[in-house]
Amino acid sequence: MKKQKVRRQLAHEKKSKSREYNYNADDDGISILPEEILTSIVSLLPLKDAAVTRTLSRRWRYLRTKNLNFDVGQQALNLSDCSKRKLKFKRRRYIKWVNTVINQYDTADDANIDHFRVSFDLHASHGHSISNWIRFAMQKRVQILELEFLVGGQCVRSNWPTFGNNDNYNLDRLLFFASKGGDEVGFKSLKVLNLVGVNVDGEVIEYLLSNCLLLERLQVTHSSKLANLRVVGSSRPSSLALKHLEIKLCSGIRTVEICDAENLVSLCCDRCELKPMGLVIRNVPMLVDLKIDFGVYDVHAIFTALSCCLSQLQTLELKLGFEEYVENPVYPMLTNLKELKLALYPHDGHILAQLIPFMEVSPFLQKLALKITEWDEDEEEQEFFIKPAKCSHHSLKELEVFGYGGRPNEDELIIYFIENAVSLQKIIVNPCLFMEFPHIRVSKHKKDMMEEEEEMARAHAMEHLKQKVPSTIDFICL
Amino acid sequence: MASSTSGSSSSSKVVKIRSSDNENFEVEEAAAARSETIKKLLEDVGDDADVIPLPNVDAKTLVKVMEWCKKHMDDVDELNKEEMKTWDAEFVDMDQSCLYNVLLAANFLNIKELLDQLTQKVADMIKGKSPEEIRATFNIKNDFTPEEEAEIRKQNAWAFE
Repeated sequence: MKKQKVRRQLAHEKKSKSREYNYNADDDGISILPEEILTSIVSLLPLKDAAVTRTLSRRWRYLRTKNLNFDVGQQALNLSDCSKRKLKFKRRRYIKWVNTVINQYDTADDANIDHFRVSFDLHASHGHSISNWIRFAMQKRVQILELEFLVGGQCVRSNWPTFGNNDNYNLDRLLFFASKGGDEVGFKSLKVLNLVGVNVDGEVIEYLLSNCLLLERLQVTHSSKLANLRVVGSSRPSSLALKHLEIKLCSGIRTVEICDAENLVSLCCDRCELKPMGLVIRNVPMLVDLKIDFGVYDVHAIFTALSCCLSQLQTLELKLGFEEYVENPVYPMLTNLKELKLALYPHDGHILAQLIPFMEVSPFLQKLALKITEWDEDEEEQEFFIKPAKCSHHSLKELEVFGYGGRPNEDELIIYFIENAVSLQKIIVNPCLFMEFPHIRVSKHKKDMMEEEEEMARAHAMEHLKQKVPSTIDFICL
Repeated sequence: MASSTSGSSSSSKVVKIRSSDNENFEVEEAAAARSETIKKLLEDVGDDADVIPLPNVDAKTLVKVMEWCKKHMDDVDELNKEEMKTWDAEFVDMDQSCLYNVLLAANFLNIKELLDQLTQKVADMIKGKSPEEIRATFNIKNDFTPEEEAEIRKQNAWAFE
């Protein structure tokens, strides 16, 4: 081994000294590179290509990728049309693949892996293999661990009774306790944990947060067991490394308590139907990016729950709608807000009236993004449009309307901003229908209809809206 | 402030470095400090530094590396990101022996961003190719015995499906 290294070194020196250096049989060009560089090259490859490199030569045979991303691609992941038997076969094959690859690693040696990701339609009955994978990853000092167990290749709404959530793989906290010679290795390396379709409760999360001192990012999607989440730092300085927390589609969630999370920068609680009363946020000095989708749309209750951090936020995303029209509500100041994203319902004639109070308390807002949620086909469109008193918005540079449908309401809204936002530079109109559950597959018929609607909206924007936009503003219709 | 980008201002300090083939170069400190190795050396020796010898990097390679360092001396703002991307893509497009020498130099000089760009370049050259194509591209000799090759192929059969 050492001899080889010396020879390589010499070969390198020889090469750098003489331009006429010729490759000889045991010294091919790329092989002058040391093992660590070759390993990082192999780690940049998809697993399949990495495996191919192992068959190149003896030198390459023992290079182990640090990036184990067992990805089958979106196409192959779409298993919803599979027969039960075929699905079973495909699952077996996936599990065998993962096992074959990780068996090539020597569990005793010191080589680490950086990234371990499995993504397939797997559940509790594959628990034995899954648990082994987690143990392997933790022993190898994994930094990014991603377990994505989707049903039929999709992330489903967890409260749909047709899908048995209780089939979800249950995460046992003991799996994370990987030790090597008495040293808890896994805890000292894990930086990112992403769990999809894995049942994990508040206790396990709390255990991980207090033990994984480097854990910076935690994402939990579609866990039916998560009811009470506590993210609480201790009095020790910066005991909680967590910077990003994302909870999605956990419909069973009742309370979220985030206290003394001194490093937390972003918090996302998406489609969890959490009630404002269930949320406690305290001492989060770094928090600037917040996205919360509450089950109720009472803005005052939301702002009360968020009162301790509102003034520091730079990005805020909320969902509005269905609430009783309140004339001229007054909200607390959002003095640092630069970007506001709001999900709205298009059949509501109050869109703009709902919007203006936000604008009034956000003097430095630069970007406003509106998501128009999917049209309710049964609802009659309301003709009236409440026009607010004119006020000018000085900082707003960009307006994006996502899910634009060419409705009069939306056009009025865009024109309002053209007239009143004096610094507006850019308007983006995106007719792509905003689906509330983008992971759920729609029927071909519905898809065609949606495409047709999108096309109509696009044509409307180009024909009627574009001419009303002054040339000083960039108008983009996607 | 503006002068820092021009590179000709008198306020920007210059350091001397020497290649393995004894050529001396004068480089702006801000550019040379993109190398963690040089940066650390400079911190250690302070202002008394005469010439910093770099015994592992020849002149031709050093010129290349410093060209990159100069370009990446300042933080890039949003507007110039695209332009920088094009420049980087052109930079890593070099002949193979040069590529490996710059890679080794980036490794020795500890310039992470450059190392990342170069390893990505090599990875892109490997991606999607058959073993035979990769061997041809990189001039790699297949030194397996037929038995070994059959075994290793079998172990990684899934990659050839």
